[in-house]
Amino acid sequence: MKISQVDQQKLAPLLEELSKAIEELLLTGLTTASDSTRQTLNVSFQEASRLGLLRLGNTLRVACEELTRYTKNQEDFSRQRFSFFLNRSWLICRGLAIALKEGNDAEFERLSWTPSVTPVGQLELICLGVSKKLVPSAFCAFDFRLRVLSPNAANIPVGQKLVWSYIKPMKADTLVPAESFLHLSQKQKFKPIDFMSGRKIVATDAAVTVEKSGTARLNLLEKSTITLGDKFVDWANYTSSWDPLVALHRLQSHPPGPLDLDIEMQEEIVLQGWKIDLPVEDGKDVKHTYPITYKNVVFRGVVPKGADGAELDDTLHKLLTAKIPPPMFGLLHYERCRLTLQPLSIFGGNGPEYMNISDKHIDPTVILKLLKF
Amino acid sequence: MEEVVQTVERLQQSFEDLSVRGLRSCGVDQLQVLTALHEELDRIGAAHLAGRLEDLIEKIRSDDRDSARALMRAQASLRVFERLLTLEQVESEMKQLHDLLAQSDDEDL
Repeated sequence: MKISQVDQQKLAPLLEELSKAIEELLLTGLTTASDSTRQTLNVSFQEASRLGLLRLGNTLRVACEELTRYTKNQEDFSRQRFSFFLNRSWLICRGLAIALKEGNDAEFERLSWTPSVTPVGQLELICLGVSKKLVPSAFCAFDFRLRVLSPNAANIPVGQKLVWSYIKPMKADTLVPAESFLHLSQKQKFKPIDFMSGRKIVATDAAVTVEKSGTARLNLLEKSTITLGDKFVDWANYTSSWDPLVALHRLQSHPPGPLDLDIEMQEEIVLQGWKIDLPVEDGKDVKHTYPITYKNVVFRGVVPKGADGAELDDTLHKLLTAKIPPPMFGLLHYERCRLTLQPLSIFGGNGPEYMNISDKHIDPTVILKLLKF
Repeated sequence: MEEVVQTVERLQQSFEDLSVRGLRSCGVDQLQVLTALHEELDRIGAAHLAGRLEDLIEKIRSDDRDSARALMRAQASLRVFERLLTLEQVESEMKQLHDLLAQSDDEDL
């Protein structure tokens, strides 16, 4: 977005007011934060989104959510998340204000960056892994890690990595397993659990956006449809060992900045011939981590706290006794000087076993309750 | 390296505490912690970050409203410092991994 595309008369005072509100909040602290400060943050978040500044809007939204959790005395309030996103909001806000004042289009565009959308006619996909994030009283989210299988009109290359995110709000009194939401029918005539059937997935009239980090996302629109194709058998093509050279080149060419997220340089990887050891306590943010050794290099296999990590913990625990662990697909990111791995699936003879998703039977009455919700 | 990572984590926690409790409620104990961390950063040669932290400490001591901006700047510097350190460290591990894989490929031939 360029400066000429925004309403400068509205944006300049909004940015000024917002940075002042953040500074006021930092001076007083959360306990004595005034209603007007909270109100300013909430209104700014909506106004920034309305003006098309989605990056600022999304960052502020997370900070406001944490502020609400603190106000409601919810135990899942995270100091780390609050502090990080408040700082990120202030930086973007100040940066945009300076760029606006100086008429610096390049900087304004960098800070207000929004991904471009490419419509796709038809895409044939498979799902290699799924992650699960559960924030009680707030939402559950699933990220499906997909691969493009065949040539398409949009020229998205075969083998392209895609992510489809499925997020559902959860009320405080929602006591059903997060996996229940995977059984809900979607407007595009499918259920998210279908992605895990081991069959080819055909997405029609969807769109793909490519983020700044290089991650490509599948967007399902109102008119999109999802159908299932044949059973996919060629999993071996996607489970050959991973070459760290590409990741190394990305690391060497990335200039770090204050807006970087830990997962900014995330890589999808496959490990073969790996070893796992007993879990170790590893900070208050995770339940524990399993040291996973691959060619003498140790990765932290993270298990999230609470219900998020229960299924993964069970699977990793079982793998402690495996003589030859199967190929494992996961996400690697770099955090506090360590290689951090989020395991997503293991590959036996019948395709992927999704490590984060419980395969326990879901009672149909539970699904009915969710439909009423 | 472990020692430096611990300093980074302690400083990050201090910044989080300040953000939640508020700069105006920062007491003598907390200022002492920040001062000790400042000395530690000086010792390990993190001059830019140490400078930002020194500015923050001075502004908190003099009850300056600009302490909020100083906190935001120090936090941004800490973030960049942590990312630089992390990327440098994991780069060497990835090089090691790449060499080990190349070596085992050679052995397989």
